[in-house]
Amino acid sequence: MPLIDEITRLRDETLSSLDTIHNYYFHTKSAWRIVQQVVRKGNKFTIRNRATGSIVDETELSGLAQAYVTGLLASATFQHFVSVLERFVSDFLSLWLTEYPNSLSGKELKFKTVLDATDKNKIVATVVEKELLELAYQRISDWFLYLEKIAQLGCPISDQIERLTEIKASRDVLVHNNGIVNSVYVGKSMGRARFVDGDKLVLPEDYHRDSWELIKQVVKDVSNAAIKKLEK
Amino acid sequence: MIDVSTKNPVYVSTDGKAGPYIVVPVLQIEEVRTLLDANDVSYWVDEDAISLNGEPEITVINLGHGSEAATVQKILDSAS
Repeated sequence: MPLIDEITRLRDETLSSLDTIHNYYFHTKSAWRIVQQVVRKGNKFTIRNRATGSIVDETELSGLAQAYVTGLLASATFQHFVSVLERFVSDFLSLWLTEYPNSLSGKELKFKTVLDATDKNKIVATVVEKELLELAYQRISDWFLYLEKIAQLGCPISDQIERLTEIKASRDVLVHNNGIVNSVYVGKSMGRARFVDGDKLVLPEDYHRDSWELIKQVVKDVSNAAIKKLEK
Repeated sequence: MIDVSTKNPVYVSTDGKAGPYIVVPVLQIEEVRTLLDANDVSYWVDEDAISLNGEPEITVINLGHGSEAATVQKILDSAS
């Protein structure tokens, strides 16, 4: 498939994934709000989890609903947004480097790799994969510096990169530090930190939505800039 | 402050451990926001508006962990 078609497919699939996750967030939250309303209207029930043995009544579930909505649900879907972005950047770079591998011409590889490869495409794929694996451990700002170096698309702009960097740092706090802000988060956030060391990181709905919108915008900007460049 | 749908006082819910919240009719969001802003109460408002059995839409104002439910309740009550 031509690169322009591959990038179009990647863009559309990524945007669709982001919409699916946001719909899941929104509908799940609404379902919990309906539960709270049902409880407020005086309905009684108990729920027993046969696996854990826990039993909750309507009052407890209503309180848990608030924690689920503002905590676990927001956190899980936020992390999913970031995962989709990471996957998009990785896939985009893979497509671009596979089509234009000259920037990798200085890379070294074991002669065994050449011997084992069925053709040149296999060798290129191996080098691209290795390059992206190394890049994956670098900061998100480095990913976009790399993107600009190889593709010269002029996006995302620095403001977007700084915001994405804070979003990624927030994700790392949720995944690696149980949601408690540390100095690593502050250091990674490029002056955009929303909290200080020791705070509990929270995801207000406007921030959750802004993050989703920013990631969508960056996916569109990068894809469309590449498509425009390839059309020339 | 009186809930225009139920005719009962608007109250701060404190069930659970996720911080207090207020369920309000969508029609009254601006009124409550104005009150909270005037008293420097931090919050965020759900984007969803839910109508159950065709009744007026409600939404939730989340006050978060740092908020004093009793203080916010007094603010709401003072607007009655």
